[in-house]
Amino acid sequence: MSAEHGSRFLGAGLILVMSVCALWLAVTGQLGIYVNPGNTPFIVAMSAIAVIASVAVLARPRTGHEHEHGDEPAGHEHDALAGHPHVEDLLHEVDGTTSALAGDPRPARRALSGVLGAATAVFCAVFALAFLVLPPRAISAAVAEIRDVNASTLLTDPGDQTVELTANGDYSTYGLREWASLLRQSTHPESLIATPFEAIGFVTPSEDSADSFVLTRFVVSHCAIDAQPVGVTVYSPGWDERFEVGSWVTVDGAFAVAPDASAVSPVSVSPESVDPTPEPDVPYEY
Amino acid sequence: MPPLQRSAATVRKPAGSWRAPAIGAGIVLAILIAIRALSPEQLDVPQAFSDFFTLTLSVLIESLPFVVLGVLLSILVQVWLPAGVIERFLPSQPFLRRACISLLGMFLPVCECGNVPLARGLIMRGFTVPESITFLIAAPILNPIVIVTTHAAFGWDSGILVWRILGGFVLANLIGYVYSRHPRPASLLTPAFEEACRREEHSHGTRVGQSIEQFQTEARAVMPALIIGCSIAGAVQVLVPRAALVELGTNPVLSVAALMLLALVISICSNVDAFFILSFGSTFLPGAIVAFLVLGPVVDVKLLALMRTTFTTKTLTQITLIAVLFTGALGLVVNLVG
Repeated sequence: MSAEHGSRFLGAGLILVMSVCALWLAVTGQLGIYVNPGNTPFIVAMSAIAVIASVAVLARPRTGHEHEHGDEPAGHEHDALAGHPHVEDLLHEVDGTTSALAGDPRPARRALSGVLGAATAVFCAVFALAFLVLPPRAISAAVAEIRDVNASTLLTDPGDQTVELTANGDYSTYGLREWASLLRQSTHPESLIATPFEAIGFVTPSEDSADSFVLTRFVVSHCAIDAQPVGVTVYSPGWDERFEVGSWVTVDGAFAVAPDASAVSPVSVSPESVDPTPEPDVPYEY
Repeated sequence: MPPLQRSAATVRKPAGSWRAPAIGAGIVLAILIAIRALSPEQLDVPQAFSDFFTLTLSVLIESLPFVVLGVLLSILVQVWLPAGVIERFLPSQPFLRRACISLLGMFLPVCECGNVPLARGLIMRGFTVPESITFLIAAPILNPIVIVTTHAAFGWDSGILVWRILGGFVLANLIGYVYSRHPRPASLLTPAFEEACRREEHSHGTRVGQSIEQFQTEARAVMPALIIGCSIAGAVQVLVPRAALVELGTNPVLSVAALMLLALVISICSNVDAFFILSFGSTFLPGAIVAFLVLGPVVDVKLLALMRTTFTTKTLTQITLIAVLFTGALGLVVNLVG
């Protein structure tokens, strides 16, 4: 395939690769690593359309009209393309950064245009290849530390579902978001003392005490870019000798008075066990 | 720029048959699926790169359906809608015409990524450059999905929803008016897009063929820009601690500046930005929230990369400057009034 064909098909090829990967993630149940599963139907529908349209572009035979005009920019002689095509001509529409330069009559700027266009094309091709071959991975604890655990008003939003203590003591449906909301919303968190707690999350350091860590999960409203870390403090002296930050653990225990009087929350989890656990297939809450 | 109307189509027979390219395209599709299926389930890559790549992909996967929708609507507008169908409902007086165009997003609800190909389609259809810019800036804010989600997030609190709608409308028409005074609006466009418009004038073939050709043209223009823009947005997420911005939240002036900066770098879709910024609601003043919600859909790093497919750097610098000054002033007014 010539450079000219490569340029013509770059956009459709990128859409094809991205759409195939998105469909693959949806089929294998991994789309939730990137976006809220509520968006899946729209993404699947548009990706399917994009695959069909991209294949149509790739499958479309070149017409006589295209052979006559090609993709040459204005003012270019036909024999320049047919004979010795310059890379800047062929890539002049690869991205907007280079497109203005491509029409510039000054050789230095046209050369720069060619280099930028080629670099953009290579970057996009490598990016698409990486999307195709790299295994999906959720964002890590490092992002949670950048984003400040429990800073989110997801936990106090009045439009959000208010979390209350259940009458029958069944907390099996509670995730870390519910527990964190309960602690944040409650005017008397002490009422939670002795309430059983069990949850899965990853370990992040606590700002309250070196003897505690925060059992953390990301809550994703729409996509991973808006992921907000929420968590519950777990009192576990020596935790940093047993677990690395970002390790996934299951904590089983009950709420108790926080040993550190200066802690933000007067209660924390006093664990009966903290066990390593594999990362869940979909590691976020929504 | 004079209206670029399509000349009478001269149908030409394809030079080649569909069979060989169709088989080739099918093989390419099969190879892609096979590579994806056979790729390793575990692979050690540096954590920082992994976070960057995941965050970049999350914006890309979120944006791509809207970009495809925008391209399809662009094809609908350019190829399938007969001349005059949209235009007959628009007033001829330029100011009123732009005001109506700024409300077109109510009927074409695509977020800002999808609006770029749609705005390109409007220019190719014959809309003037200032009219297309007015649509491009207004539509991501003045559309039903964005209004509903903003209401769901904030209700009528502090007038945030009303300020957002009014701010988006005024800003779009202000920028549209400024460029309507330009002596040569075509010079606002990149040479490559001008050339694409000229080629569109001489478009031939069946409507289906033109649609496929248009999909190819728009995909080639938009996709590299989208990937670059999403990559910048992903890198910023990994490199910039949000705590640094949050610390500025309670100052009436700095809070506006901080969230405007956040809007420029975070590149979140206007359909959901209200839910995102809600998480900063207890920290930042309402004026800062309004500035974020008006500026973000107009200019951010991802969107600027996309808009660069169509408009010159000078034009985008001017649009960014006007948008920043306007939303900054709007945010301060909201903080003072509130």
